[in-house]
Amino acid sequence: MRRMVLTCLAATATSLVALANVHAQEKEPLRLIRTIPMPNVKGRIDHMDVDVKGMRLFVAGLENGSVEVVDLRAGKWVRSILGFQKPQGIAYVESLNKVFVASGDDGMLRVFRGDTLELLDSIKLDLGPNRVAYDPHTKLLYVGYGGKDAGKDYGEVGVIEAKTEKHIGDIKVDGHPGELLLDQSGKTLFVFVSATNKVQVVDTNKREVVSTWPVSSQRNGDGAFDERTHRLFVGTRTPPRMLVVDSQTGKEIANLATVEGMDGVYFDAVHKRISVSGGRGFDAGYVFCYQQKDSDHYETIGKISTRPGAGTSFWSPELNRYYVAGPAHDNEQAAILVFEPVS
Amino acid sequence: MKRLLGFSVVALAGLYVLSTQVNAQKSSAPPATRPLVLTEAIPLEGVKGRIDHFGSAGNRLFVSALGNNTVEVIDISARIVVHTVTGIPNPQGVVFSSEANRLFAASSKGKLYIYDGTSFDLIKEIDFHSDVDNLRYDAVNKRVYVGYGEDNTGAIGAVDATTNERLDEEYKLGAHPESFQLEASGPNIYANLPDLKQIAVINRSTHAISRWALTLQMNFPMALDEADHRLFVGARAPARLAVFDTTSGHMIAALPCVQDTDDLYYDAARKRIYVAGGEGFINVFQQKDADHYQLLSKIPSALGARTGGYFGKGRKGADRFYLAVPARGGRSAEVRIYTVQD
Repeated sequence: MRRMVLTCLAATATSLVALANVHAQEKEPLRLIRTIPMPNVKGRIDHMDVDVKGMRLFVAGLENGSVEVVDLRAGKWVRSILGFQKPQGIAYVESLNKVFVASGDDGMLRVFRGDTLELLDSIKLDLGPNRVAYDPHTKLLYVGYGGKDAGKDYGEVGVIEAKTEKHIGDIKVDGHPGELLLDQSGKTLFVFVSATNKVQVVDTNKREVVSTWPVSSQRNGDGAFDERTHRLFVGTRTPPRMLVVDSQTGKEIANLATVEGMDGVYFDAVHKRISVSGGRGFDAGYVFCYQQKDSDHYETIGKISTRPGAGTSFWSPELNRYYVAGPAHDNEQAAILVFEPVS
Repeated sequence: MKRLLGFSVVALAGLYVLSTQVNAQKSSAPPATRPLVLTEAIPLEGVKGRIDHFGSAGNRLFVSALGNNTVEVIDISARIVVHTVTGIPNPQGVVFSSEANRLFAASSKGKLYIYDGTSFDLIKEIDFHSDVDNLRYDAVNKRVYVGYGEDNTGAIGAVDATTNERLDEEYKLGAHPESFQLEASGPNIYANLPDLKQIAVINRSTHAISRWALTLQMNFPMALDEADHRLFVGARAPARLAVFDTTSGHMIAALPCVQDTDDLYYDAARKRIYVAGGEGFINVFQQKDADHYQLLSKIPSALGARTGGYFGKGRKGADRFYLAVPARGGRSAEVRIYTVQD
């Protein structure tokens, strides 16, 4: 009899789980509101940035050797800037009317006029320029490069004076830098070194590493920062985890499963949610969404299907939109998937 | 409400067990010495009974839920069950043909079921009359090899994956074949015949069948290292990992191994053998060279977790070992994910 009761309880529990799952699917944390095709863009797509006023999205067509420009107002692809070798990081700086594009395979940081997109300047670094981060206070742009890509056992973060387009310094780090996250004051820069599974903390005044923190999983390529609660969100690929790390001490606070082929981590401070996109190298893409219940507690609230191979994404708090880059596959054109957070 | 509370406690307890296991592994040794690290578990809610073999295609994992009469389709990126194929009595072997976009599932009740690889609609049933068990897919010839039958009817048959028709190609073995492996660089099929205490070597070109007599009994799982001409066989009585030279049929080594094994995989990149056993461990063996083997790690898993899946490195280096843990006590069945490390 007791067994039967237990069985009934288990069966009820199972149905409750099933119900909960169905319910969860009915109310996803992100809603796809638009799909913007990008014709002729082949291969892997890398990072993005947005021109909030002009409603333009700049997209690095990494394997296509292009920067794609998308009109977000019209929901249309506008043009390609061609001729890059492995374009990766993009920064649009409205106050200077400039777009900076880092190219890994020719070691260049190129500068374009923001409105007309004509080429203004090319700054030669070493091989491997990847992510970029702009500090509006000092008008300095940080560019990660070097490391294994340049045949070196260390990586560098180049310091560029955005106004004059001068390469004025370098910060030596452990290996090829992945994600770069600046705090609001511009005084602290978090550099993700995926090759050594570390986060390095840079004092930007001293231009040197002041702390190095190991992370508990491997290949920490991407991340986001919630400065208010002092939390770093670190995406790792092996295994696929989303780690929550105290940005003052490096201590791991939480460790959650995330998507395979992770390539984009963003924090939505309004909804207090973390979105992790992934699918790079995989036949399916998803965004995993997490709710920040408080600074120490996180819950997975959705796994939203995107597209095969869709690794990278971009969150614009100003536009309240989350963009996922879907590469071309089979007979489908590359596209930007536009999501709106659901409260 | 009381029920809900009870359930939450169970769920929390489950999570706690999982997290303590993950933590226990974390603190036990530096990462370099751990070949498999438990990193996640995908719950298979409501899946009852024994879980049999695994299949894989691209992003999807196919799990034969034998005791549940279903094949569970898992998306490995999201780690969610995306489809449940129902209506297969006691499914065992499962293979996917990407070329034909078909899922093949073997039923111990005697039929082979063929499904559309997208909708999972049933396309065809082929009646082999008795115990259809292990399946292997030959992608070059787009052919599914089917182990079936008992005693006198025991054989390996073949089905054309593009036409879904049973072929004349058939190898009578005189016993039910357990795991078998197809050579890619040669014509041979190696098949475990535990009822005869033999391994059969079938030449697909000449149709000749030779047999190796075994000193070990209950030889169930099998994997092939073609480059080194080695065949790995899991025996249950006594529990051994046996290594055979495929050029001579000689047993090169026999190492004590986890009990009650039903799946065994060879990791050619790391020269390792993974053996899942219902005793409650995964054994990892290191192949030092073709003739020398050593137990590298004995990883506690769960009672009854005797089947698993290892399909090599994914395109982006994602390297996972999957282990089926059947439902037990108040906990639901799950597929555990172990990250494979150098």
